Amino acid sequence: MDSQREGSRLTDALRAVAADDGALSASPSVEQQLLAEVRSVARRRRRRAALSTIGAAVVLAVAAAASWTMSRATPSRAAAPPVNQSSVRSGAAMLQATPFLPLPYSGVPMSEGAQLVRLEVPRSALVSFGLAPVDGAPAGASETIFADVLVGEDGLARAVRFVQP
Amino acid sequence: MDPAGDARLVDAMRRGDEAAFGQLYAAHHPAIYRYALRMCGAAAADDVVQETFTALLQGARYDPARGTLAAYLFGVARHHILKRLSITGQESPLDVDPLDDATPFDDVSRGQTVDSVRAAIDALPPVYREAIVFCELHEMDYAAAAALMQVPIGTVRSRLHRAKALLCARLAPARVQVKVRHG
Repeated sequence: MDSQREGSRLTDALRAVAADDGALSASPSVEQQLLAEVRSVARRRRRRAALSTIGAAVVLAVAAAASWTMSRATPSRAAAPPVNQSSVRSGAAMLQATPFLPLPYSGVPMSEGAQLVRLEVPRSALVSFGLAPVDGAPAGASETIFADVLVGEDGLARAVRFVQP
Repeated sequence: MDPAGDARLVDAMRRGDEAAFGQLYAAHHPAIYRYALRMCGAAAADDVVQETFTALLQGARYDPARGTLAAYLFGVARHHILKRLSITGQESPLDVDPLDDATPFDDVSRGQTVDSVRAAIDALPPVYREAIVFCELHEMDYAAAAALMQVPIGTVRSRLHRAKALLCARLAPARVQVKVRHG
């Protein structure tokens, strides 16, 4: 048996197969489906970035509203925004959830498609709305509370309510 | 493309960059497709390519320190191929025909050779087929093939040797057929 010759011929034949297979590739639909997946990844990233921007804007808006309210509300804390009396107890200020409090610049009519964004904010934000004692949080209370911010479709925050964690 | 460049493209693709995907897909998918085609047939090869690139897009991050992207993709593809082979039960016992003195390629035209060799490769048991595909069709060195197949280099050599012997044995009847046809 001329095994060397046979081996060489087999190698040549395998190279011929490799060369012949060289032009083969997956069907175009595979690339299209993968491309659609890549586009969907891009869309998801854009949406996340937009939500982050909205979140940051909301935090800024709440902070601005808080400082604006604080600057005006100190002498008239008794006339704080209407709050569900059952949800806020004087002294201990064991707040469960306030009604929605309109933000100062929220005169723009609310369009449909508003979103509720929950944020964790310092308890001091409550003080600035006249909803808690100025002398600080009750013993054992969390340093932060939740703020549910109503965000219009245009990304502007319209109202906020505070929720006890 | 160097591993670091590939890694940058992979990161860009994972952020949704279509151009990066296009570049990576064009560079790497044909080899993955041909490997999958030889290992589990045309019907499954497209799926293996899709699963491999989906893993690159959404799965564990490619680490260039651990090897080339091509090796990484072959590894992912191999995982999917082995899953398919185990489901379809393609592992067959070794049925080696005794080798005779015939040289099976003497009277066969190039086209016939390619077709018959391809058919003979497809008929090999997967462990031998994989050795032929990696080392001969993809011209991978033994070390790279051994790393992918997760066996010692010596095992790759012996599998390749055995695969070639099986191919010669399987191709012998082709020579007889052609001779009869001509004779």
